[in-house]
This record gives sequence, C-alpha cells and structure tokens, in this order.
Amino acid sequence: MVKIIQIKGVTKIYDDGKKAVDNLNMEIKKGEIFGFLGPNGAGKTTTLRMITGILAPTEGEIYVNGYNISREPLEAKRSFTYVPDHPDIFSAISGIDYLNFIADIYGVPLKERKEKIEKYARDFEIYAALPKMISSYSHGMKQKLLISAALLPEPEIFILDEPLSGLDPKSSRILKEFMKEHSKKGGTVLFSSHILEVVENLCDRIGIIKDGVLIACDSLENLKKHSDSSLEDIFMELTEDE
Amino acid sequence: MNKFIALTRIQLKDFIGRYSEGLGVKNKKLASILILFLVALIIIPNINLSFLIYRALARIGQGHLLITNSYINSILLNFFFGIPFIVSVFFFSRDARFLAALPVREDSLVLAKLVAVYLYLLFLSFLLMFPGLAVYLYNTGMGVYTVIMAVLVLLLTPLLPMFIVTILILPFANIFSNSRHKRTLILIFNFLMIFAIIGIQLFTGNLVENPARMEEVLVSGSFLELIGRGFPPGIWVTRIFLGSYRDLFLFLALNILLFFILKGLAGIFFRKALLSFSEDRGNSRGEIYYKEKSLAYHLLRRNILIIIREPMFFLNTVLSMLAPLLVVIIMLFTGELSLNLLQSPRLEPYLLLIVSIIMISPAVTGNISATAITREGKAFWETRVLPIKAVDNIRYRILTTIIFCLTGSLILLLITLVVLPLTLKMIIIAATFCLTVTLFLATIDILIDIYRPILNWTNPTAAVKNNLNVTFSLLIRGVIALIIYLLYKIWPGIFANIQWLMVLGSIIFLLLYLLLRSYLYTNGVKRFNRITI
Repeated sequence: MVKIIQIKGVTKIYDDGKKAVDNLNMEIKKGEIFGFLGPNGAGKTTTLRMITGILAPTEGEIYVNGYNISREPLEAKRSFTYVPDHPDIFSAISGIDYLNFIADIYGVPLKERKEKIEKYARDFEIYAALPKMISSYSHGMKQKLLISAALLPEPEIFILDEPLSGLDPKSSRILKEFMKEHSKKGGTVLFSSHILEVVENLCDRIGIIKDGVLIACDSLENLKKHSDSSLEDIFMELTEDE
Repeated sequence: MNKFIALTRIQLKDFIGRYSEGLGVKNKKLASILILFLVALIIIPNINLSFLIYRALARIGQGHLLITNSYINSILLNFFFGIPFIVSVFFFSRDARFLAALPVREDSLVLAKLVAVYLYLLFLSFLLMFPGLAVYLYNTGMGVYTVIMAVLVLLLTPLLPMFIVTILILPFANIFSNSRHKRTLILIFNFLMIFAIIGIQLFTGNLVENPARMEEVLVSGSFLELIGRGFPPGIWVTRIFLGSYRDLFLFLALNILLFFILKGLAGIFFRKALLSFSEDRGNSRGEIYYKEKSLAYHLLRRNILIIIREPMFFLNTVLSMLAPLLVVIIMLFTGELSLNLLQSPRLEPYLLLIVSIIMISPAVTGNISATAITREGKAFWETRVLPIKAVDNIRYRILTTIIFCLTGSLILLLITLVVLPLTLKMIIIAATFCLTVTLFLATIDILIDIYRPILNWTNPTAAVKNNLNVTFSLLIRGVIALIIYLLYKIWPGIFANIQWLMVLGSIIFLLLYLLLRSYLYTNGVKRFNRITI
C-alpha cells in the first residue's frame, strides 16, 4: 500500500525548551482512516501541525504525498485540507465568502462548488447562516463551516484535529459518514480524537502518543491480539504512568 | 468581600497581561525597564512644561493655577480615554459570558471591572498630574498637608471622569450591543479623543508661548471663577492646596457620592452592558453567491478587511496616517496656522519640499506593514496551511500597506492642491518620491514583523499599539531623519536645489527598496516559513 504520509525521526522542541514530540516515526497509508490518540498535552496537535506545515519540526522530515512539507510546501499542501482543534478563523467575512475563498484556492470549478457547498452546508445545517458574518457563528457552526470548507476540494488527505468536539450528534454522524465515504473512494483520513468509541469504530489503524513518544501504532485487531480488552482498556494501560 | 477581591485580582491580571502581551517582550525585567522608560519619556517633558507654565503664572501671582491646569487636563484626558476603555471593558469583554454565570453579586462584577478602568485612568492621571503637582510642591514647599492632599487628589481624579463616562454610555447601551454600531461609535469616540489630546497640547503650548494672553484672561476677571462656574471641582482642587478645608470637604463629598451612585448603577450596567454582549446576533451580509476570484483578490481583500473590520486596526491606521492632517486642521482652528501664511510667497521655494513631506507622511507615520502579520493573530494558520506561496502571502500584505498609504497620500495631495499653488512638475516629482519612500518603508516594516510577529494576542490593541514592532519601525525612521540632518549639517550644498534633492532621494530610496526586496524574497521568505503559531 502507498505511504501517503511519512514521518521520519521528527522531534519538536519549543522555544521554552519543552520537547513536545520526540523522535516520532510513523507512516499513514493511502485509503486508510488513521486515528491519533493520546492524553492531553501528549503531542497530537503539535504532530498534526507539523504535518500540515503550520509548525516546523526541530529535527526530522515529513513527507505528504511524496512531497517534503518543509521543502516543497505548496505541492504537499495541495494534497490535503485541515480542520484545526480551535476554529480560529478570519471572522470578518461571511460564511459564503470563506467557502468561495477556499474553493478558489484549491481551484474548485463553479458548478462543482455550488453543488458541494449546498450539499455540505445543508447537511451540516449552516446553509441559512452562510451570508452572515463568521464572527456571529457559534463554536459549533464555525467547526461545521471549517469541515464543509475542508471537504469542498475533495483532497487526497483529510486531516482533522479533534473534529467532533463542538459538533451536535447529527453533524458528528454525518462527518463520520463522510470520513468513511472518503476512505472508500481511496482518500486518506488522519484525525485525532479523545472519543475512543469513535476511533474504535472508525479507524483502520491507531497511533497512541504519550509525552511526545509514539507508544503504539497498529490496527485495533493487532493491538487487541494479546488481550480481549476494549480500546479504552488498552489506552489506559498504555498511557498509565509507571 | 473575598469574591470581590478574587474578581478584581483576575480583572487586574487580565488588564496587565493585555499590556505585557502587546509589548511582546518575554523577559519581565526588560519589560519593566521598557515601561519605566516609556513613562519617563512622557513625564520628563511634562515636568519641563509644568515648570514653564508655573513660571508664567507665578509672574502674575497665580502659580496655583498650575494645579487647575493639570487637573483639568487630566480630567479631559481621562474622559476621552475613558470612553473607549469602558466601552471595551464592558461591551467587548470576552469574559462577559463567563462572569455573568458566576454566583457573584452584579455590583461586585461591575465594580471589579471598574477597578481596572480606575487603575488605567489613574495611570493616565499620574502622567499628566504628577508633573504639575510635583512642580507646584517643589516651588511652594512640601508640607505634610500639601503632600497628603497631592496624593489624595491624584487618587481621586479618575473617579469623576469615570462617573461621567458611565452615565454618558448607559443610554447608548442598546446601540453598542449591535456590533456594527459598536465599531462606528468606538471610531467616533477615538477621533474625539485624538482631537482632545492635540487640543490640550496646543492649549498648553499656547499658554507657555504666550503668557500675555493668559495674563489678560486672569487679570480681567478671576480665572478660577471662570473655571469654577463651568466646572466647580477644578476650583475646589486648586483651593485645597491653598488650605481651604471647605473645598476639601466638597471635593471628598463629591467623590464619595459618585462612588455610591456608581455602585447603585452597577445593576443597570450589568444588564445593559455585560448581558447585552450575548445578544449580538450578527448581521446578514447579502446573498449566497458562487463566484470565481483570483488569489490576488482574496489575499488583498483579506488583508484590507483585517484592517477595516477591526475598529482598533482601522482607527490606528487612519489616525497614524492622517495625524499630520489632523494637527494642521486643529492648528487652523486654533489660529496657530493661517491660510495666508501657507499661501505666502516666502514659502514658494519650499513648495516642492512641503508637498513631498506631506505626501510621504502616511508612509512615515503609518507603519502598517510592521504589524501586517501580527494583525492576523491566531487566524494566521489559515494562510499557512493553504497552498499559497509564501512570496504571495508576503507580497499582498505589502500591497495592502501601499494601497492604504498611497490613498492617504492622494487625499493629502488633493487637500494640499486646494491650499498651495502647486505645478504639475512639482506633483510628479513629489509623487515619485512618495512612491519610492512608501515602497521602501513598507518593505522594511514587513521584515520587522517577519522577524518578530506576535500572533497570540487576545486584545487588538496589543497587536498594533503597544507593540515593539511599531517602536522599531519608528526608530528606523528616526535614524533616517538623523542621517538626513547630519548630511544637511555636513554638506548643506546638496539641499540648495530642492528639485534635484527630491530626484536624488527618489533614486536612493528606489535602490534601497530593490536591495531590501531581494533580501525579503530570499531570507525573509525562509524566515516567514518558520513563523510558529
């Protein structure tokens, strides 16, 4: 299977000396749904930010769709869209302005963008709010707008950081369906989550990170091989302080 | 009471945090030194000015009027600074929803916020009143009574303007709860504030330069009575220093009364201000549309909207760019300048120089690029994660600055054309000079921001006002001005032909711009790609 994301010996040390990620090696295959787990502050968001080019690794290299994110950022970025954990977006424009902006950046043709915007915005129930300023949106609405925008270009890779936080049950379900559909079509989904049940039901493979170190990375079946425990038990066992 | 102290502590930490955040200095010691330096920068010239005013007034036996002058200036400054600050603390407060849900009395919440307002105004009063009080005490002798009174007056000065502003703002609460009106009103109040500051400066300057005019007012009728009729606390404060216990009683009684009225109004303020924040629903801005636009359009629009839609950014941009124009307008109003003087034939040889200086003033005082990345704040991740070239990302930020600056220059040129008899040749030379200076300054400023962007700000003021990038940017302008001055001193001959000087200046700035541009699009781009959010 083609490796669509390769993380090779990546370390991230912040200015204050904190080592957020320590010599991380991980591969994500094309077409899989990969769940990234870990306690708060384990390094999940830092890793996702490095993969997306928001943060530069202190050491190591990251390849997205064969392109080095540090050396060929533009080519790498064309392969994915990203939904951050906090919807801090430029809020002085309307929702529809934002979606048209994203469509133009990724070159989504007019006819296609109209169909998709209508579909996603209606599915996530934000269609009526699209002409309104983003600053008036609630946290959940902003999250839905970001997800709609990320789905719009149909990227090869869909990267989401805690995508279900702030979403209502209906929208969560729709998003999970989109993720499955995307994977079926050959697309890749990489997401971090705290909701173990979702990860358990959705993911082909799971990576567990603790204190910046990848402590497990395998399919759920393989992780469960040695015990009949649930993902929650495995997670607790692996992340428990000695 | 403990709850009130806890609330106040949080408000103060937030208040201090916002300002420290704006300075962008991680080293606490360095930040303290910097703040002390800035305070000294304001206080030292004020002490000097107070000495001049005191001497002028003492000559006619009215030295105590220095207290009146300092007090009234402080009240005015507090009043105009208080309006935007109270509005921002109550109507733009991000902690409103969190605070409203706490099991704390409404008046405690409002009073805790007012403590932050009080300290801010006290700081301003200190900057303006301390020099006046210190100079007065220095000249008249420092008795225990006068020192205690000086401290008391200083501590109580912010209460009156705080009260007046609160009363004035309450009727506008419903308007403020609409985000569009909020922006407009903040802009209006800030413009008034600038007019007040410049007005105070001109008034005080005039007083020092022309004591004879002051003498006329003072001798013809009692100046204290004149002020007292319109504003009795001014006369009370002055008479306190002359030993009047009656005026001390009146002043204290007024402030105690104001405190209890403020406390009584706290409930209304809580409901009208803090809670109305949650009622803002935002406005629909048109239809759902599907249109293809270029990258240039999107990035330029984004950068322009970041400035226009955030009142603090817009105000800062417009005011700093048009500050020279404001000064000229106020000087025309106060009679410091006249159209006859501007149109005098003696100015003719310097017309090109004057119009060139006027046209470059938006670029010189604007320094928009110095916060081009900082202004984007936490939303900066968007342009980083999207497939947009760093070069484009930087280019359209510079272009935004150029659009704003050249628009300002054009407005100033049009106004200048009405006043000064300019020729087409002069306009072309001045416009070329203006273009090269604007390109150079916009480029050097963005380099400052690339090297030290502050993206994690919570208050827009921190992003553009008390930001060291702006200080560095002004420092560069200062160095350039110094070089020009030294050249004038060493080689005055090159300043003989202004036309030639402007052409030479254009060539130099164009070359400097090209050099900087090549650095920006190589090393600057690399650094831009390493900006951490």
